[in-house]
Amino acid sequence: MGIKTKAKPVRLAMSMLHSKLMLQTGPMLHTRIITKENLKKLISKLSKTTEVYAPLHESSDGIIKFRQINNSEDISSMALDKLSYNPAKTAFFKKHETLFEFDNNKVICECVAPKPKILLGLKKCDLNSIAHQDIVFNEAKDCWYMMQRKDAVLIGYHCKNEQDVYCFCNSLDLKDCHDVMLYETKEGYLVEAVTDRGKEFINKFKIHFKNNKKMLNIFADKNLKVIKGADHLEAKNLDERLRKNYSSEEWKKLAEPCLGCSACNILCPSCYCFDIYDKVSMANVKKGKRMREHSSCQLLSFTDIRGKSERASREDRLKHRVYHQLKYFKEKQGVNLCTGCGRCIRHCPVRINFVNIINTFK
Amino acid sequence: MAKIEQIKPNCGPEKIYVPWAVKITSIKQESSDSVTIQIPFEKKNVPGQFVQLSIPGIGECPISISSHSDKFLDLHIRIVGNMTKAMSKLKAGDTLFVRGPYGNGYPMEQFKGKDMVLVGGGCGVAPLRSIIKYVLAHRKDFGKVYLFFGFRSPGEMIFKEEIEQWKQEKDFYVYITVDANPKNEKFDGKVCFVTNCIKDVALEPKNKVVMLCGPPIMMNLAIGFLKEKGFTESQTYISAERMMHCAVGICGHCMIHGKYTCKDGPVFRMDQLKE
Repeated sequence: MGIKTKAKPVRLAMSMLHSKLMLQTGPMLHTRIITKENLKKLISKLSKTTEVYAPLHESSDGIIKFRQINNSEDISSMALDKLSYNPAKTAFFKKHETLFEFDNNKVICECVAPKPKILLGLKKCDLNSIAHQDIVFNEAKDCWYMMQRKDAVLIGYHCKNEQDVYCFCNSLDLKDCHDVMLYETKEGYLVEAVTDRGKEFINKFKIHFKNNKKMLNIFADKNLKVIKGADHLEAKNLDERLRKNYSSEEWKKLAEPCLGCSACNILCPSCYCFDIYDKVSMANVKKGKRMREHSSCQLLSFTDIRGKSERASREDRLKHRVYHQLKYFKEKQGVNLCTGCGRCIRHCPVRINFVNIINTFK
Repeated sequence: MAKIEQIKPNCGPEKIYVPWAVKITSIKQESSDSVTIQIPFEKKNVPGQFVQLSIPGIGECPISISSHSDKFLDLHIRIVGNMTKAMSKLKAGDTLFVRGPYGNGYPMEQFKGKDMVLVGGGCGVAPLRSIIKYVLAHRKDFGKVYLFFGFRSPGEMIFKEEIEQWKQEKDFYVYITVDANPKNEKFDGKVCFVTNCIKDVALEPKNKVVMLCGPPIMMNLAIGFLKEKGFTESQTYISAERMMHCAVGICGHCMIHGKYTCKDGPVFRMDQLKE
């Protein structure tokens, strides 16, 4: 399998080295310009041979959905600058996935190599959450995930400003996890390829990209990579504050209106919990599939053993989610699982805002 | 294009969720609501580990290993749900699917030269049996063995014949209790909670390790009584019970305060759990 956990720091180091070199000698060979027109042409070409995913403005319900581009209408409804309603994780970590099939005590594991994937318009939060899922699934050698992730090219879109008041990516220590990054300008996009995979991508489709001397000045501008705002979580001494306030009464108040709908988990780009179950037809219960499906720690049944839930109160379940995102994962992997996209607050039907509560913790 | 392959036991690390088929060697009715299944299993395993058993079409569930062998596994199954009920109805020669072993297991190497105190309640006795088997196989490495096993009633007692054998072993101190004996069945032991039994027995904490497995309320009470006797948290190990789905540290079902029971556990040293 192509991806290894060890590859990540190397990749990050590479990108840091790259930006250092750029500051000294101007843009390297792997910065380009692409016009909006040309980007659409390129996507149209790519979508014939690969799976291209992007945030699309759905005309039916007005929602920005991150999904696969199927036709020219989809290309014209692209909204690269918008944070999608749903996370990008489903491109690799499928919502429903067949692990293997069984037929009368025979196990059949079918391996169909998926089409290569290109994910377009990923925000910094989305990119980091993919990196976090890489850590989890690579550590366990989960080939179902790795197979999907293997050849994917991640093309980011740089947010100049926060999307809304729920963004807090700047409060967390996010890294550069893109292969290619797009910076929007008046004429089109500045394109920066960071990884080998990104450089390869640009070289492969070089006729669509332009080289321009003006870029020298633009890339030298320190403000280019800044996201304004997006710092609504007070992150100072976060570990310590969370540890001290685990038994705070505030958690109970916060969880009071929770409906237990699990939207926060489903829309989270980092959450990776799942169920494994058998799916059979009524006609023949010995033939079927072992499936995995996204799951949610906010559901009462999530921790059931012998018909009894181990986290019976909503307070405990809410706390578990927040602490897993901001504490437990960091203790294990060195990074916060949460990437500050704010989807879990923005789309919560009762607007449970854990960021506000954490900000009050001393 | 589509590549179809039959999965064998050595299917490699990539197919982590794919189990392999085994034929049940024997199945024994242990008590009114539990059975012990024996299956061939040649992978190395240590006491305290578990395997994922499955019946295609019904599901998968974690079962702790209650034997110590590199030829076979004894799996004690208490009937509590659909999956365990379906397994209890299988017969010798039937096919069962298995993957594993998973979990950290007890650090038996570290226990060398020490006295062992095993506290088990109900089906919590099953994983402790693998420790006893290990100790009997490496008898010279260990000192005295104290067994405190509690059951609800004499009818729910498991491993009856073996418990009688252990009573005859040298340096084995076996205390069996039942919570009640409503049917006045034949029973050689005390009628009380197993925790009260610990309270009454003189135990010196020096050079001992305690291993507990059972209902949380029993373990908490037992730990309390052991503390009174001077036992520390760093010599106390508990085996946690959770419903695992993936068993490889991803799916999140078994997470306790950031620790995966399937990967970081199921055996936890008390002081490490407190962190």
